[in-house]
Formats: sequence, structure tokens, C-alpha cells
Amino acid sequence: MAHLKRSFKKFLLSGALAFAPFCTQADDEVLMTAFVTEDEFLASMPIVLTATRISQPVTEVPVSMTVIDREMIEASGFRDLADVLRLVPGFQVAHGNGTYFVPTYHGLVDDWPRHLQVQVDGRSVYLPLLSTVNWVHIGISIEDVERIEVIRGSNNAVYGANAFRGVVNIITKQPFQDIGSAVQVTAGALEAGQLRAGVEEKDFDRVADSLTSREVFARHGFTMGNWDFRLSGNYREDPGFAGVHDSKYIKSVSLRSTGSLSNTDALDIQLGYTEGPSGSGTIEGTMDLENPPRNIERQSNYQSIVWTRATGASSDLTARFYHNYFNQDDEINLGLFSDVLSAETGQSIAPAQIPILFPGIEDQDVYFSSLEGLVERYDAEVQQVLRRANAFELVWGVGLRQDSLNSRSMLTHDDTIYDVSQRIFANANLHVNPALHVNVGSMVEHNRIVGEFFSPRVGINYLFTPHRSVRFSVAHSERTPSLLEANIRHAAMLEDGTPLTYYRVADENITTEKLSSMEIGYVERFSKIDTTLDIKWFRERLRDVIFDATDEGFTGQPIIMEGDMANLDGIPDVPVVDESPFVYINGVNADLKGVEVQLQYRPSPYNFITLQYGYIEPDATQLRFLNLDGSDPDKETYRPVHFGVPWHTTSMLMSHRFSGRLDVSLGYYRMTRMRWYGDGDTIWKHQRWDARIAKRFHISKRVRAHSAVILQNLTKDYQEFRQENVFNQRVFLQGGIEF
Amino acid sequence: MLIRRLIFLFIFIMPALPTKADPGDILIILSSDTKPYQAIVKAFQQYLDTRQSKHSFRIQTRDVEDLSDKEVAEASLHIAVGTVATQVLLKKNVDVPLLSTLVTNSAVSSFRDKYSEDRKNRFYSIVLDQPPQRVMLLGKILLPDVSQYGFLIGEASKSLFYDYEKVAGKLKLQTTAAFTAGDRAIAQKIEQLLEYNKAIIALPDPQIMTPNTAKWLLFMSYQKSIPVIGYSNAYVKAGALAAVHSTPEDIGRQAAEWVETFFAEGVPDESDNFPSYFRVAVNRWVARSLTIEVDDEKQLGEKLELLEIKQRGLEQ
Repeated sequence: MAHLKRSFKKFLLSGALAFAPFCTQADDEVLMTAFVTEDEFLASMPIVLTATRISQPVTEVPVSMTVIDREMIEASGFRDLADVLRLVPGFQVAHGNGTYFVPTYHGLVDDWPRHLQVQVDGRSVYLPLLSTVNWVHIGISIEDVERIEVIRGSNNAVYGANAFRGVVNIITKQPFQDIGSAVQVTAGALEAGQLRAGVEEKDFDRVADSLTSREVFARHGFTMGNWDFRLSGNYREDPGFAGVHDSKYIKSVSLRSTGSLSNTDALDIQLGYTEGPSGSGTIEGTMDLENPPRNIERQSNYQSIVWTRATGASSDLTARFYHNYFNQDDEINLGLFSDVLSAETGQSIAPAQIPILFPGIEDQDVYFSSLEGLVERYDAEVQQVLRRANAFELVWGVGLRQDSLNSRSMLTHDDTIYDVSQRIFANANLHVNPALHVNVGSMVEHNRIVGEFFSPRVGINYLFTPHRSVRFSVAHSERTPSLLEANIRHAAMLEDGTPLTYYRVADENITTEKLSSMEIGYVERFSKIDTTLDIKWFRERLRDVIFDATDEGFTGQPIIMEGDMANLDGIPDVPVVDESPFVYINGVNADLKGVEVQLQYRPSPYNFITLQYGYIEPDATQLRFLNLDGSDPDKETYRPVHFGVPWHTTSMLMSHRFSGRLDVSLGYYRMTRMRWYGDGDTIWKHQRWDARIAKRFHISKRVRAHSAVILQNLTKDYQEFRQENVFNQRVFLQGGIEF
Repeated sequence: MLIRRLIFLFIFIMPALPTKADPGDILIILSSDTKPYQAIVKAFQQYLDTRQSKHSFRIQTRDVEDLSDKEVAEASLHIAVGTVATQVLLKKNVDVPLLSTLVTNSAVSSFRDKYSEDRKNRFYSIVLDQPPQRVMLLGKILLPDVSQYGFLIGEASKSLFYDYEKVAGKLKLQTTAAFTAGDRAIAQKIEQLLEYNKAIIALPDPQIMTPNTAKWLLFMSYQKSIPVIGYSNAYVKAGALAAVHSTPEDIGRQAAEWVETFFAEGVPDESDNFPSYFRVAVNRWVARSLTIEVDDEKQLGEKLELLEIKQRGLEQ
């Protein structure tokens, strides 16, 4: 403390000394600002490009990677972050409905893609409640994103268990990039035909009515001393797909502040809050008692603090701590137990009969929920990066995490369950000689669910020139079941908490999913023609992948249902619900092989063409039924899931800036047949063309504006994820101002 | 009385040099007693030591207020180290030549315009800035494919940019500049620069090259894979690709040579007050990340020196 005081006094004194001679006369003060002094040359500066921030050149990266920057995000016209992954070779993206996304790498996915680690500025946004990422509640606006880095393929050795099949790093803009204020309004017609008709008929009420998707984004950035701040807010309402109960009304606010504590120490603080109802339930026009049309209220918030000490470009130390909170309320009151039984059995059962049929149970309301629960994650990590010129780069660290889950409907009790995990990881990139780099890394994790597991990786990069290289890597990764997958007991329940019947349960012997992968990559940067080519050949051997299976011989249903159904005289063979629950089980094995190509021609940030193509050849089976007794020949224990992976995925994005700051871009997305599991369907081959025309203006010296027309799916309608999600032509009109 | 707190380090050097000017005391005044200022004196002394000059000196620390006009007037030559020291000495109405070191061209130009004719005529300098040609030639060596350079300039660096513009024309390079008064739209200006340029040359400017702005420029450029050529070693350490710069030791040595010539032959060539000694600093990690092939710093310095000589030859 005494040292600090001395330093402060010294600082004041030196400042006074430096300016003393200039303060004697007014004209000297004027002069002082008009010339450069030696201070500019002698001053030390904060380390901006720290070891962590400086990325390896593409030819030296030991994994296959795709970077989507701000210009590509804008040119794509996508309004949702998950959509942007359509520009990554090997990725498939679909709307589960209007309220959630199902992005996956190399297919094999149900409603809840479990195998991607998604991080926002280093903070994992994976939700142990859903065993996936809720992209709508990710807590940041697409306008705040600087770029998205996607590691294609397993990278547990660096990012831990959820990086099982890929990593999506979302990097938001630094607050100083957004100094000033901005407001942007977007209005969209999710059925462009209605908008077109309104325009043709010059019926402006109809035009306004057709613009059902509305979004307002506002941002203010400012600087205070060494600190930069950005405050962003977003409101979005969107009716979702026609005929599907999937509207959403989402409000979010986020704050990011970065500052220097000294020339070597920096802090990055982020806070965010999101809330709003989203539609869920039965397809409109049909009725499912356990899944009626309803709105689910969700709230999420996060807090993150990152301290970095950088001593130069060759070493830095980062300590990170964050907390994520996510809660969703979903409670479906199915009515009185007697009424439910009456409806299910077709017999009139009076409330008074309930205690007779089910001794000890009074007639009361029955509740069911498929999307209820509260999860929190606390995570702390310390990481060090060390680099030595022409020798090695080492990244190592340790982390501690606590996940908690409380969900009465999913766990059939009110207690919060916890998982505490520890991890230690190290990755070394050894430069054997200028041409040969060897990458060795591993993460060892331990949690309460499965104990200890280990994910090593070895890779070699051979650089023919600094601009051309081949890489070869092999990796073994394991992913632990999430808290939910390991503990689920999803049931319809009486009001007093008594479970009636299990809808989905966890397999007692559930264990880690395993992936052994091998890839050979070729990267060449043709600097004279501003083009980069990346080709990857891969083989993946997936084992024990967790999926739903139906347990035909399940004997664990609550006694109340099992024993007392027999008391329902005259109404045998009509169970209240199916007694064979789904089981989360290590039930899918798959061997995948294929090729991915990405080509980027980029003569300037605003003029580019990118091409992405993925070819995947799967050989996969899924365990569908447990304990089959063989009485039903149509039921097979295993089924092939060859079309759980599309064989061909293609995308293209091109953009050109014309004079007058007029940007025109065109996107193309194509996917062959794919079976989406869970609530999904088989979706046949489809393609989509998008276009965006945008213009920027300078209204005055300090005021800038922009407007854009975004057209999605210019050609014929197609389905996403399930048959009901019909993606029509969509039109978005956007206007914004910055000042 | 803040001014009374200003501490000067006086070094009286009485060398037995072969002099053309009248031999006498050299009065060196430092703007601060911190390391870079002391380093100049040390290098100055070491150089004279290696020349086996017979000289003696004494060091005294005093408040400037205690500095009598007599002491100032008795010296044969004043050497100011830093801007503050230069300005204090310029205000002394004495007929003693003044060599200003560790100052910038922009400060020297301002002082020349401001102070009395008598003193101005005997006011010499060795500046910290590198000649624009040297900086642009470094760009040519490191980035042979780049022909368009962007500059972020403010009021203080405007005239320096014009010098760069002239040199760029000779080297068949193009320049664009974004002018800012250091306002909050600076990030937008940087964005504009990055839109149209393949490399950036950062110029020192107290209003715009604050630690914050320097951070922004480096960060945003790197995100677009656009290299920045800086003006100091610290800038390179912070994340610029490279810089050509002179250390206080380089300046001290040059000052000693200047003094030798001054006493032996009279005032050295006044037309070139740029540093004779310089070095190149490179951020290897940034270079590697941007796949820019670079030699080691020493080789780069030698290459630059040769290219500079060659260029001078072409111009003559």
C-alpha cells in the first residue's frame, strides 16, 4: 500500500514536472497541444496483442477452422447467430421451430444438439438443463459480434468435454469499437407473399400487418479514463412458422466493459440479462393434452470477469470467472386426476373414486411439463500461454466448475442436484524445425457423474512454405453425460409431487460418449490472388452416443400406476400413458468419413466470395428399443441411421461493395436429405438463396445511417427440421442510425 | 511553485577536445532524471571516453530557479535533453549555442517559430523522429506487395503526414489519411482507414495516439490482418508489426559526435537533424500470425541502411 502511495505521488509529481514550464503562460499551453514530445516515443504501452489474442497462421493451426467475420455476418443477412453456422463446411443448421435452433456438425442430432462447445468471449453458454445451447437466450445481439471462430471437429483437449464434435467461439466487439450511440430497427415479413400482395394492392395496412417480425436494437458506447463501456439492448418479436405455436418476444440487455489496470494488466467485465415468453406446444389445429399450445417464460443472466496479465506477445496469464443462470417456467395443468383418467379411458370416473382406486391419493390436479427448470453454472479457470520463438507454444490451465439443476418435472423431486468438475489441460506446439510442427495436447477432467476421463490429441503440421501446409491429427475425446442426461426422471405428477408415470428416464449405467477421429488437412494461401483454400479429409468413430431409446420392458414406473390400474374395473388395457418411457442411453454408434472444402477469395473486407462444401459418408446404427420381447416383428432393436447425416452440404456467400457504399451480397445454402431425430423428421434435399442490398449514408459529420433489404429463400419453400416448419420467402427491411 | 520542483541534472563536461570553437564548459540539462534521459548522458560520456578525449565533468542537481544566468552564460555549449529542458534553455536570453536532443521535429519547428531570432540562429537539434523515407523503406522491405498506406493523423501530426506524402510519391507508394481531433468517432476513422489500406503507419501525436487509441488501432488492424508500422519499441511490443526507432543511447552517441564536430569543424550539417543511428524492432509473433516473412532485426536494420543509401543515390 505504501508502495502504491509512493507511486501515486511520483505520478502526480512527474505530471506536474512535465507540464510545469508550460503552465506559466497561456500561449505555452496552446503550444503544448500543438506538437509531439518525446513522451510519445518513450512511453510504454498496454500490450494489446497478447499471446492469447495473437492467433496462429492458418497453415500452422493443428485443427480445421473456419472464421466468419463481421463483414460476412452482415453480408449473410442472418438475424440469428446460429444461422451463421450455415457458412461452415460440415455444419447443418435448422430451426427446431421459431423459438430454437438445431445446429450440428456432421448431423446425428435430435432437438438438443449436445456436441458443440459454444462460448461467448470464452464463457461457455452450454445449458446442463437442456444438454444444449439455447441460441435465442445466448444473451448477446448479433450486432455486437465481431467474429465467430469455428473449430470443426473434436477439440476436447483444449475446450473440455462439450467440445466433443466442435467448438463455436463467438467473439464480441471490443467496447471501444462502438463508442457513440446506435439504433437499428428491423421489420420482417416471414411470408413475403403477404407483403408483396399488400404492395401490389397499395394496401399499406396489409403491408404493415405482414411485417410481423420486429426487432429494435440500441447501443451506447462510451469511454471513461482507461475504461470502455458498451451497453446494448434488444427487443425482438417474431411469430415463427405459419401454423406452428412458436412465437417469441425476447428482451435482452448486456454490458461489456474493458479497461487497463496497467500496461500489463487488463480486465474484461460482462453482464447480461434476457427474458421473454416463447411459444411451445402442439402444432396448431391439433391437440395433445401433454403438449398444449402455451407460452414458456424464460429468464437468463450472466456475469463474467476476466483478468489478463500480458508481459508481451510471448506470454500471458488469464484468470476467468463466470456465472450463468437460466430458468424456464413451464407448467401444464392437465386438470383433475379424475378428469384425466376419464378422458384417457373414456369412462366417467368421479373424484370420489380416486381414493378407492388409488389408496392414499386424493383427487387433485395433474401437472406435466417438458421445459421447466433452473440451472446455474459457476466456472473458474486460470490459463497461461507461453511462447518461445522457433521453439514452442504452450497453453496450459486448470479449471473448476459447478453445475446445478433444479427441475421438479425433470427430476421428480424438489432438490437441487449438483455436479462439480475439475479439469487440467495442456497443449504444446513444438517447432521441430521451421517446417515441422508437432502439436500434443490433452485435457483430463473429473466429475461426479462418471469420474475421470481423458481426451488426448496429437497433430503434425508440415509447412512446405509459410503459405502452404499439410496437417495430420488424431484425437480421442470423451464427453460426459450432462446433469440432466444422468439424472432425468421426467414424469407427469400430481399436485402433491407424486409421480404418475415416467416419460423419460436416465440409464443407470450411462457413461461417456467416445469419439476417435483422424484428419488430414491441406491449407494454401495464395497471397497474390487473396485466396485461401482449406481441404480436410476425415474419419470419425463415434461410440456410445447418448440418444433416446424406448424401454419396452421398463419396470420402474411408479407403483401407483403399476399396481392400481388393475382396480379400474371394466377398463383394462387402457393405461393413462404409455408405460414404456424413453431412456437416455449410450445407444448410437457411427463411423463417418468424408471431405470438407472451404475456399475464400477476399481481395478486400467488403469484396469476397466464400465457398463451403462438406461430403459425409455415414455408417451408423441407433438402439431404438430396450427389452424387446420379440412379439412385434416390426420393432427392431437397432435401426440404421444413415440419413441422420446429409451426404452433401454446400454453402456460398459473395459480397461486393459498389461505389457509394452500396453493398450487394448473395448467399446460397444446400443440403441433401437428412433425418432429424427427436421431434424432427426426414427433410429432403433443399436449397435456398438469400440476398442483401445495403446502403450506408453520412447524414452529417457525426451521424451515419444505413438501410438494408434482406431477402431470404428467394426460390421455393422448404422445410426445416420437421415438416411443419415451412420456410417461406422472407423479407426484412432494416434501418439504422449511428451518432 | 511547481516550477521550483523541477529537478535538473547538470553535467559540466570540460573536454580537452580539438576545438574550432572556443573551448569551454558544456552544460547538459535533462528534462527529467529518469532512465532515458540519463541514458543519453551515459552514452554521450561513453562515446567520448572511447575516443580517449581528455575531459572531466561534474554533476550537480539543482532547482531551475537556482540556475543563475551567469552559470548559463559561462557555458560554451548547452545540450538540452528533452522538450522541457529545451524550452527552459531557449527562454534564457544568452548567446550560447544550444543542441537539443530527445525532442521531436514538431517541437523543434514550434520552438523555431516562437523564440527570439538570436537564439534561434544558434539552436540545433537531433530529433527522435525517423525520416519518413526510412519508415516507408522499412515498409517496402517488410511488405513488398503493399503500395497503399493509411495514416491516422491529428493536429500535431498533420505536417509530418505531408512529409510522408511527399516521400511516398518518390517511392511510388500511395497514402490516405483519416484526420481526427481525438474525438469519440476515432474508431470509425480507424475503420475507414482499414477499409482502403493494406498497411498502416502510425504517427506520434499526443492527442490521438493516447494509450487508448493506440490500443484501438492495433486491435482493429490486427482483426483485419492489416499490419501496423509503429514509431517506438513499445508500440511494437504492444502489437505493431515493426518500427524503426532510435534509442536514447543512439541519440547520445550522435550528440557526442555532433559535439566533436562542433568543436573541431564548426556546426555540423544542419539540414539533417534526423537520427543517424537507428534500429528495427519487429514483433515476430504478429509477423508470423500475419504470415509475413521477416529477417532478424539486425539484418533488417542493415537492409534498411543499404536501401536508404541506395535511395539517396538514386535521388542525387
